[in-house]
Amino acid sequence: MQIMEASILGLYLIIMTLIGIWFAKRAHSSEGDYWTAGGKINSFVGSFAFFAAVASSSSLMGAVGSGVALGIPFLLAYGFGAVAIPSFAMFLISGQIRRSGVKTLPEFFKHRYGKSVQIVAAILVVLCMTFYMIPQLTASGLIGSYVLGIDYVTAVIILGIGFTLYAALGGMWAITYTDLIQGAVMVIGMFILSVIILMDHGGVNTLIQDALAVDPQFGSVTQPWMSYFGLFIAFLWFGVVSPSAVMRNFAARDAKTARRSALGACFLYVTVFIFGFFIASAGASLGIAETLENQDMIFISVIEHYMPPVLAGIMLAGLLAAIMSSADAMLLAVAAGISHDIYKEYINKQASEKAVTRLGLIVMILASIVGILFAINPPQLIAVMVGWVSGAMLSAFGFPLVLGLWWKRTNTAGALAGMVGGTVTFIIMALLPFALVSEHLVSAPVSALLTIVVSLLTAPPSAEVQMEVDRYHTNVEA
Amino acid sequence: MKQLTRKKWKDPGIVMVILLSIIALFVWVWWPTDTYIGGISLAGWAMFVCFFIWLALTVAYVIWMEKLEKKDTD
Repeated sequence: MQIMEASILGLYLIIMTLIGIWFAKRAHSSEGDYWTAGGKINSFVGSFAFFAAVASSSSLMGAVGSGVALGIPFLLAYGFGAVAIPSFAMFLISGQIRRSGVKTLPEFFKHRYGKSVQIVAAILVVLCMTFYMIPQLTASGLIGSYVLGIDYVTAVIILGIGFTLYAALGGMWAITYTDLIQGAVMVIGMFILSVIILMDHGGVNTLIQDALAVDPQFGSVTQPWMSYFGLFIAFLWFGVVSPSAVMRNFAARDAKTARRSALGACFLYVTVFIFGFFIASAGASLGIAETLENQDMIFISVIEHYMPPVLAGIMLAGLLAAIMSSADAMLLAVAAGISHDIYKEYINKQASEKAVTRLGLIVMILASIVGILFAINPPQLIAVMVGWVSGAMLSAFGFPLVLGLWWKRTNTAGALAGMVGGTVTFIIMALLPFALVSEHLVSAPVSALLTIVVSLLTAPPSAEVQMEVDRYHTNVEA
Repeated sequence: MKQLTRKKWKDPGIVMVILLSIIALFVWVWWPTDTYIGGISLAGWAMFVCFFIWLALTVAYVIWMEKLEKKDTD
């Protein structure tokens, strides 16, 4: 057990929880929702909030792991798409989402297409978020096993139970404000780590040469073109199809702050991927990738190798806390999707608040168990698993959402066909032997085609709905 | 309603999406995997350079939208 790291980790988690409670009390006392924080949030804070809402720490850890395992171009392809996440979502949907007044994906689908599409969307969000628990649990299991000195499986089970308790007891309150701190800790931590690495190796050029000396394939493209392209597309679209974080950001703030926050988030992404490049190079230069049981562990090895124990403790604690709050948000999304959006709204309208909460808790526990079972023996590298989730969400929601905002002829039947057809195609592609993370290169176009063709073959939406779509494109409040 | 509606193809967001797609398409078609600079494949460097292009496009969009808004209020 790493005593120093473990103590810092424990202390950090307690402080984060206390901050969460304090901010939650403040947030609930005002009428503005937590994003606007009474309309006082500025672009600087907004940038970190936006960044933290989209960038999960497990994916940063995974990006570094994949850069070492599959060569640095894989990490760069990841960044090629990921850096554009805030910008692409802003270009394509921000103004329209703002004017439509919705804050979550299922809410938009209900507003634009009606109940049937909302139910299907809610079910798909639940499935995607449950799967998204697996990379979170894998990453936290790796950190936990290292810091606490226990084996990986035990760490996954203990932390999985911990996440469920945290989400069940805390609800939304613990997430948002602490996310800002996690985002800052990650960016600053990666910056410090990069500076230490560069000083240790004597510059960028020698760092890369050191990595190449250990692994001559480090700079090479080792996978088929489709894998890199697939990864790029999956991440490029992540902001558009992620269930609520980005939409809420665009919907809740004034337009100018939301845009500047997205710009800030884009800048943070650029810096994080530059640091990730250095960290992955340092990881490759250590020459231990082959000896690790799980290559996603490389980020932790680099932290431990280059940073003094106190800084390493803070960095690992920040990493784990950030994963915890992401997992918390996912579990809550799963619970809300089933108990609130489906059960309360369509199955039992008279259900008491207590019954809904209890059902939510059961769903949360089930989702955790599924996550833990898969994470015990993770099917792939973290980066690949995150790519799968993003690819699946793109195949399901991407085109029904974007066409729904941009093309008034899109109707309910088209959206349903696109959503279900895209998802089924994705699952079939995932079962077939295919290049890594490229399933959605087939399933997303299938979804687009189905949405367009079925919409054209069936009756157009009502004049009222078409007017509404026109309203998304007015000059008012761009 | 019609007069208020902005032409969809002139929307700054769509212009940026088209620009981003063209640049990305260029990288994916070019894909120079066998040329190495400093030991790293040129395909990797091309993607790296795009980090900064995406940032530049975002800056351009934010300025453009703020100018449009200013024009609207004037």
